[in-house]
Amino acid sequence: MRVLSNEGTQLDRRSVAAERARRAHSLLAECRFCAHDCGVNRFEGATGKCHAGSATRLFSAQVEVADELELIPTFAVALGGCDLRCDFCITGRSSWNASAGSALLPRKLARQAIAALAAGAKSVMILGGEPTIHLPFVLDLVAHLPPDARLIFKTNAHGSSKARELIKGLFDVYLADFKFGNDACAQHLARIASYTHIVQENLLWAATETELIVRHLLMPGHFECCWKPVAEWLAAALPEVKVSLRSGYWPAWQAQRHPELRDTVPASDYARAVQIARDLGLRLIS
Amino acid sequence: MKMEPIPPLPAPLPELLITPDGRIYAHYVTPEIASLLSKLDPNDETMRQRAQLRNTTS
Repeated sequence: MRVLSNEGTQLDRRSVAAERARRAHSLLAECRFCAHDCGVNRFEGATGKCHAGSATRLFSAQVEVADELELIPTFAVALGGCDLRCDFCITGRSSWNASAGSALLPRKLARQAIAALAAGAKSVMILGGEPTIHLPFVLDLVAHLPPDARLIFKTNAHGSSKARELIKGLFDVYLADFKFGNDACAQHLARIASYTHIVQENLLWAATETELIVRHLLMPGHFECCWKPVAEWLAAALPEVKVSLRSGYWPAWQAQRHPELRDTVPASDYARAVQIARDLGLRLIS
Repeated sequence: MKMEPIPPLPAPLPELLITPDGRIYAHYVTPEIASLLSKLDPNDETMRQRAQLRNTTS
């Protein structure tokens, strides 16, 4: 990954990340990393909608192969806490609780990542929960990783302009969820306002900055209201972008609160979703 | 130079969901789990490709 200065000269990713980590750390005093724009002082114990303090904990760090084929095997680092409240979250227990998991210094975690890369992992994926709410830690981790390591920022795409500024140029792949096709479903299932506008803004930005893969998890009962609008928007706004249509929904965490989410997705719905993607000319990857 | 030991990392247990019609869903799919799932359903091309990656990381 090449990090360029405003003058176009190449910079060392590690030093850029280290400087931004310091800046991000100071920004915890008035946190505006995600689009909730809470402005709370996380040093003093105040917490915004993500409930995260100033410390970062991780609930998983291991080599995994469930992600897109072009990214795996990946050393996946999952950080606790998230700014969304998706009732169907498959890691809800840890993603909703920023205090869950283990504390580990970024430089020590980086050593594990480097060992995994040496053993054959193709990338390092930083995810959550949501990594955007932990940018000081994330950037510090990047500062300790080899400059040629392939880095993936796996995100809900609900970050703020400030977050975009901090991660700009540091990640090889922006792997972003586009979960809901309309704001009503986003509000109902994840308690989030103005969802589509914010996600679209982030995706359009990412497409100009780095390699972008957009994920959509097909959910039962949300074919017409969520998948179709997402697919149509992608076809119109980002026709070249890689799209990963995920079929692995299962009724996890608090999905039982929603009658339509109490089952898996029928195979016929998945086939129909793929057909829609093909009809729209989307660039599907698996 | 004395090397600092690499600390243990959190590694959650894989989670599986098997539906009555025999479909298997998995979360936290390590290369070893992919290998196991591929043996359960050799016709699953996606899982076969993931299982093949096992040897590259062990």
